[in-house]
Amino acid sequence: MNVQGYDDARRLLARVAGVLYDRRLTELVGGNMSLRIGEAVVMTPTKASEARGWRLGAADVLVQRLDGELLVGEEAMISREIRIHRRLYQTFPEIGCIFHLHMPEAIAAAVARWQPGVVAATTDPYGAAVVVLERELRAQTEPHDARAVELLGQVSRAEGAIAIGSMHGTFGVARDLPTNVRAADVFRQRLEADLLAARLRRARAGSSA
Amino acid sequence: MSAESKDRRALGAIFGRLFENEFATLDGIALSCRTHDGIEYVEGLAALRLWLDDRVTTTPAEPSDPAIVALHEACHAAAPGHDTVISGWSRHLRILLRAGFPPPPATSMLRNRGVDGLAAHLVEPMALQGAAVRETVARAQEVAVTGGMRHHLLISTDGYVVVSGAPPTEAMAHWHNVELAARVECLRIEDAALLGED
Repeated sequence: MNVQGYDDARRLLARVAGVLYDRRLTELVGGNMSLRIGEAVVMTPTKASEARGWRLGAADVLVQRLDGELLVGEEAMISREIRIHRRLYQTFPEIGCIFHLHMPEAIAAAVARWQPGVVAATTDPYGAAVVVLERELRAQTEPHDARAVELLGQVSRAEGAIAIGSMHGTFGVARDLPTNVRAADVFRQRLEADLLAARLRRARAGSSA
Repeated sequence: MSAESKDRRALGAIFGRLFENEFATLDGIALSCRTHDGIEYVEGLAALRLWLDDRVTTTPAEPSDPAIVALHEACHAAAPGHDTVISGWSRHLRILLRAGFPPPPATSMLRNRGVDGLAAHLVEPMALQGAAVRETVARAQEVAVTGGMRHHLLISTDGYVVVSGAPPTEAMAHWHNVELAARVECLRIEDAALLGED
């Protein structure tokens, strides 16, 4: 089914889902992505990871109004996490794209180096503003979602902001899709660069000992 | 499709090849090519937009950072035979240099293109900005002539790599060769450390 006005967004989101996986920004058991087009949310279907390996076509991508009315697709294909997407769009009108990614570097950093709360209020130094949720908050629960909204409300969002749920994944928001890709990608690259630099320093210290 | 839009697509495709394999990141990458009436640019987000969506028809005319524009203009002016300039952070080289390691040894792919050592191409970051740019690019041209290189290569001491060359895919290969050498060197250092622990 085609709905005029959403076709380009559905095609683009399907392509980007594969790019995010290829860039190692997520994995194969969960995650979801969405775009806001006016009063509607264009979103990836449930189990796009394990069932489709993130290889989606435009026809797989759903469209739901912010008030919950489904415009394109089947109810059974709606991800349960779309609730937090709709909530974020309604709370922050300036954001136009949300990625929920299971990014290993982010999960590890949230456990190993950061305390819950605001880690970076702007895109400096990580490429995205960063907030970390408390470890006891379970994903897909009201306290988790409310805390993500609260913390994201404390940082700059349009150029990219990432909320990290402990041992779960990230919710990244930005004004549009390319900006969100950039935020997620630069964030992961910088975390990886920090780790590699630390390993190299250690290697050098070991070789000179 | 207009000539300008074809040029932009070519730059978008090159960005995509570099980005897909993590040679390029969105941290400061800018590409430009010579056109019949000037220079066509794509940088970071615009390059990503082009690569993701082949229906995109508009991109910013030039990079937002005037220093990048001046650098690319100087490179194009210095090498009329080149048609493409690529500049951006080399991820692994940046890590190596910031951690205090020397530039990596040249791979055979670098040597085949006239680059026997990266140290000869190193410049201070300030040499790529302001009034110093033209002089820096002129020196790169001299190094290229001396070394029999078909491209120009500049590397800042903090890991920013600038290449001009032709055709676009060859410029891409030159730029990628620096990051590849740095990747190899990072792995070699870690491998050596692990072997030393055994």
